Amino acid sequence: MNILDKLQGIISFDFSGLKKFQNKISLNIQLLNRNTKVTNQGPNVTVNINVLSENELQGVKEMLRSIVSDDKVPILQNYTQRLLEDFTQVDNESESQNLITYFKGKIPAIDIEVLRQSIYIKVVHDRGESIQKLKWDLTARYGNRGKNICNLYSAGYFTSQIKPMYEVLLSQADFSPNDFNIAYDRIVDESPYAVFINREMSNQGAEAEVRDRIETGRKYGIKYLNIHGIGEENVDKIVYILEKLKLDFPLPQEIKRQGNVIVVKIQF
Amino acid sequence: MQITFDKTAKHFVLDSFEKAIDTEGYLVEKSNPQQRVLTQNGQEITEEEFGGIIPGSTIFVKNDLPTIMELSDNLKSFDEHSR
Repeated sequence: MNILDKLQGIISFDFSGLKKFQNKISLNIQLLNRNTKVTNQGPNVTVNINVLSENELQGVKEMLRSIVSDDKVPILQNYTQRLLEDFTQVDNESESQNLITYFKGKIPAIDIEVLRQSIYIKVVHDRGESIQKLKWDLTARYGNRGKNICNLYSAGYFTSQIKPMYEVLLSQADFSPNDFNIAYDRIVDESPYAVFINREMSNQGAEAEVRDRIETGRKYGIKYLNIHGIGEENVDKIVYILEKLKLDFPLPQEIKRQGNVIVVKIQF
Repeated sequence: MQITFDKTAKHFVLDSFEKAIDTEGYLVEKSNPQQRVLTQNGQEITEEEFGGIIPGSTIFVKNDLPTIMELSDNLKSFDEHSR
């Protein structure tokens, strides 16, 4: 039985004008300060519970229960329905799918969940809409790790740093997935204390970026910074930076290098 | 078939499923207000967080992004099975 047939048996109203929409009808339940029981805009039908009789109200309640239990159809609040449709559309897009497919099996399953939601959050942000609640939702479920992954994705680091890092490590003869896991976890867990040196930066620009991050870190009581670089060119830049910083930061540096992937932890 | 409700009808929808809101703003069983309604993950749901009801054994869901992703996956899987 379709929704129109169900409503006809419950609400005393002339539904004949809606018959042409038959199987396309979307039903929205609202409490409105109007005298009309049923209104519609094309196939979108609104039932106003404010003016239904007690019998009609009981009928609608019974119908809702039957829709969930017998028809197996969800009943969602408008906001939830819109978010579901929007998320599903973004999640199905090839750009999202390609990135998720790439990282599946390489990073933990729970991080894949976070990454899918981070992709959606960035799309919403790029549309100029508020992401405050979405980020709050993400952090409430996944904690700081979730927030870090979201920020890393938003800054483009999954494609500009983490993916290339995997490729470089993979190309090494003694590659073990554990090498990637360790490097990946370090990036995610310590991303607030990280700077990524990239190809677009000059030696001086990279040095300035590191000094700037150190100054910011100091303001917040942070004692170290991880400098990440992938590729010979960026490794050379980091060597240059370390040389320049040597006098100002004499504390021991921790250097982890695997081929052309380097992470230097400097303390200050 | 798509059925939705807006926030003005939230209490009516909850009442349809014998649920109510307690004094602290949580969804509870109407017949036993001490018993809070839980999500599939065992979380209590506030009125503000209530996103809707999905089939299964009548599951109450939140409106947060992680729940939306799970819902999207469930519906995809439901569509694939019903094809």
